[in-house]
Amino acid sequence: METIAIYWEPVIKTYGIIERTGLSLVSLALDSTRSDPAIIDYLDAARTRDNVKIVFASGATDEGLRVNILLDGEAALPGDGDSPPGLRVDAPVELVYFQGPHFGDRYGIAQAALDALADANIALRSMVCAGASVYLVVPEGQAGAAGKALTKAFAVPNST
Amino acid sequence: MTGKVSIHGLKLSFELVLLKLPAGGDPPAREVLRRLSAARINLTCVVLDGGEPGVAGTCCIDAEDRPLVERILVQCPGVLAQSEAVGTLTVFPHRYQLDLLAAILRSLVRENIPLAGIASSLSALTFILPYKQLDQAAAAVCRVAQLPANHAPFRPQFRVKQV
Repeated sequence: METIAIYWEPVIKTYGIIERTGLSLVSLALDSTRSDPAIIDYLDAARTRDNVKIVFASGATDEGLRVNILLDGEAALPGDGDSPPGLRVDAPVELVYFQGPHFGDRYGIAQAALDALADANIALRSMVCAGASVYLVVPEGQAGAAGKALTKAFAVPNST
Repeated sequence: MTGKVSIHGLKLSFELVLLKLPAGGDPPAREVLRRLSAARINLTCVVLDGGEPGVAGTCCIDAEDRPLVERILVQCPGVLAQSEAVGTLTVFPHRYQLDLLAAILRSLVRENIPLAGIASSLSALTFILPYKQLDQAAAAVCRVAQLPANHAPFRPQFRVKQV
């Protein structure tokens, strides 16, 4: 069964745009040829100490699937020599995110967010869109400008 | 880890197509997404990585949009529409805890189910997997995650199409 919907609106509505600073982006390749890949060992060790914001992975590059975990504050890493091979940490980074009505069923939402950042000359570190959520990871010091750029492009409750 | 992680639900998607957007492509990833948006193609899931030599990543489209998207991609060399269908398995809520992610990854690896992507939202964890293995993946997840009594993995009964 198919339901036809018309979501068009002059300015795309959101439930608000939220900024977070002082984050760490930890990433590890998922080697699925191993029965217990290093990423799982890392997750087992990190699960009680780290506050997770988002998780994402894409396999668009030659190195295969790389799992990224965005953490609040500094990542607690194993000591020298104990880090799993291929572990990368990008810190500090910042996050801007928002949700909106029926975002998962609408075209053009990701594009509007990317255009807003590009128009403001803000470098994109990562973008994750799933369900009704849009997450944008940006370099240190850029979340405020990214939030302002998105507020111009999207409707937020306190600006309409 | 011992015992199962408690979850409230597990949702399986319709059939999807995975698009791979290479870094440094011509046109760049943002332009590819602009062309898809202009054709009113909904992206059910997007994961992009920035940096040099440019933005790269993956996104999923509805399988019924494949013919239109393939016509658009003729003008976008380098962008790959994967021939093997994918689907998403969404588990909720994630409660911002790594236990659930670790348990699911371990279970999928043990079942030799290849993972094409992960994306979290406000409350859910979404895994992109081969469509033909979605039911096998759901069973693998249910071995490590506990659904409420009388709940089972579900597929949506209808799809929403924006016009």
